[in-house]
Amino acid sequence: MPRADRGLRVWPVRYLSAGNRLSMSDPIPTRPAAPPGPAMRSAPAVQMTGHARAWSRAAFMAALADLCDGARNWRLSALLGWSELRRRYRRSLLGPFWITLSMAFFILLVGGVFSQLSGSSMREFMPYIATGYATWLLLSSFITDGCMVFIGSLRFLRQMRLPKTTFVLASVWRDLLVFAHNLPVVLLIFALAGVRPTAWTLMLIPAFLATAAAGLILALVLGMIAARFRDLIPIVSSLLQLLFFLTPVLYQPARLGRAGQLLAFNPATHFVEIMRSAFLGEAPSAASWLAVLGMLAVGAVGGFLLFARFRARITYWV
Amino acid sequence: MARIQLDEVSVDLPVYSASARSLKARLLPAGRIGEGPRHQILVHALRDVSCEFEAGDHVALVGRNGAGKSTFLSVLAGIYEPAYGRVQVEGRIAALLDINLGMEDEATGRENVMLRGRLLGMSKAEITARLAEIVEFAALGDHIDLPLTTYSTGMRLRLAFSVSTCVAPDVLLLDEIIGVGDVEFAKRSTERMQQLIQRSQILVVASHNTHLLAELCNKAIWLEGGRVREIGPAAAVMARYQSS
Repeated sequence: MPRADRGLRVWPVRYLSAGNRLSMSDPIPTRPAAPPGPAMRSAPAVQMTGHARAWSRAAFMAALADLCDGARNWRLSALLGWSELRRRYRRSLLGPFWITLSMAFFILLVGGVFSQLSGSSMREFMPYIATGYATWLLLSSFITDGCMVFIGSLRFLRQMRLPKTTFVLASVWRDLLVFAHNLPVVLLIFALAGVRPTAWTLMLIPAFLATAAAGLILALVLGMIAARFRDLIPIVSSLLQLLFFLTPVLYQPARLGRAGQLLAFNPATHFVEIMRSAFLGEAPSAASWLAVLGMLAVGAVGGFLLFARFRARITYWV
Repeated sequence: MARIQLDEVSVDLPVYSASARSLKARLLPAGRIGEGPRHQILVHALRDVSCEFEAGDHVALVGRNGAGKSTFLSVLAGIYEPAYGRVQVEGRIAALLDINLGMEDEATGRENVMLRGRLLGMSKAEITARLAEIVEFAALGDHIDLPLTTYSTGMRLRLAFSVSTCVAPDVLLLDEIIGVGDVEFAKRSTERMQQLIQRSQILVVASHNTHLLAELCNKAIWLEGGRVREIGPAAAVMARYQSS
């Protein structure tokens, strides 16, 4: 007899504020009448694994508690993110500064070539490409590392109870650390090209926060989807390459004429635009900021709904 | 007061075969995949498990391989959230299921103590305060500043054991009693384990060593095929388990 027909009650687990307790103080949700055949088929993964009533109030409270606990335990996330970065570069001479070096070479060589192609001076073009490329690297690390958030934490997920948010924060923190290693190159190029800070430079703070928020949403959503559907990882890595050429990093969209306007459909364009304008101390495009804030709002709501619905399944997926 | 209560807890572990796991199985029209993926394969790890334990209970968890002992401990630790039933555990939980969790080969012993301690929920100050005692108990000496790759298997286990047994939980979950090292260390580690058990209010331990369980526990729960076969006083349940 299938599980779904047995009229059992569902009691989701949730966090309590004090430590890692489990508690069930919520009222018992009763199982709804079994939906008719076609409706059941539309959500088979859920019905068949016996996770009914996932949209319960308890599921939302548990998701919220997970986020709060994860944020409260940010020290653990920082430690995990940092030790993962250290592990990658242990015993190498330059450590994470290899990232800095490779970025410096990329900007120098590719930037040199593309400044000739676009016909603008190196002095004008180098800061443009450095800021764009640093931001792009941050975004792409959010996406690639985001896919691995839960898959890569398999051992932890299977062996102990930690907020799922802890791993999301750790991944984003690690990417931000790498980004910080790229900043010296940007600053050096600014010094050489004579880019001076203006009042608009202050926009770096909100632009940075918006990008970091996007990183959190990307890690949460991609991490969950990739844990369930492993095909996402190769799909994402091949799309990412495509996305790079459709993002105005190496060229200025204005030079593309009407086709340049199509780049507005690429979300990365707007993040690169707000970060770059803030770096260069220029007035940002209001449209880009609106697009960014809109995407963040949609992403936050959608990400939270997805998290509330499937948080308990993550351990089963990895 | 520590307390454990499980009501009709069922845990189904899904098997995601390569084809079911892929998006392509979803994207292709159903006719091309066939019947298989529609009926996801489930392993019923636990079925309708109910039990209740109070402070002072030392529970032996017995059963054949694959009876659901580890899943049972995972559920108590809050790792797998059951799809059905209710889990209620009150008190600070320490699950020593994998004492090597979070240990990194390339990091030094000291760094590993820090990482492992933080994972166990200790603060930085707490770990620093107990570091000397941990190193002394593990009998590592100056090796503490060397990377773990240079350690022998015994040294590694001793370090993991020393850090992991620092905790002071209300509910202690053990998967097999951890006995480590040479004769001398095994004796000290048994003592330390006993102290840890005494510090905690409830102990749930899964093991195949029935002698040890009989010594440690006053209650027993016998799992078979994911269901509770019997639950009650340790001596009676264990006697029937062994004669079965």
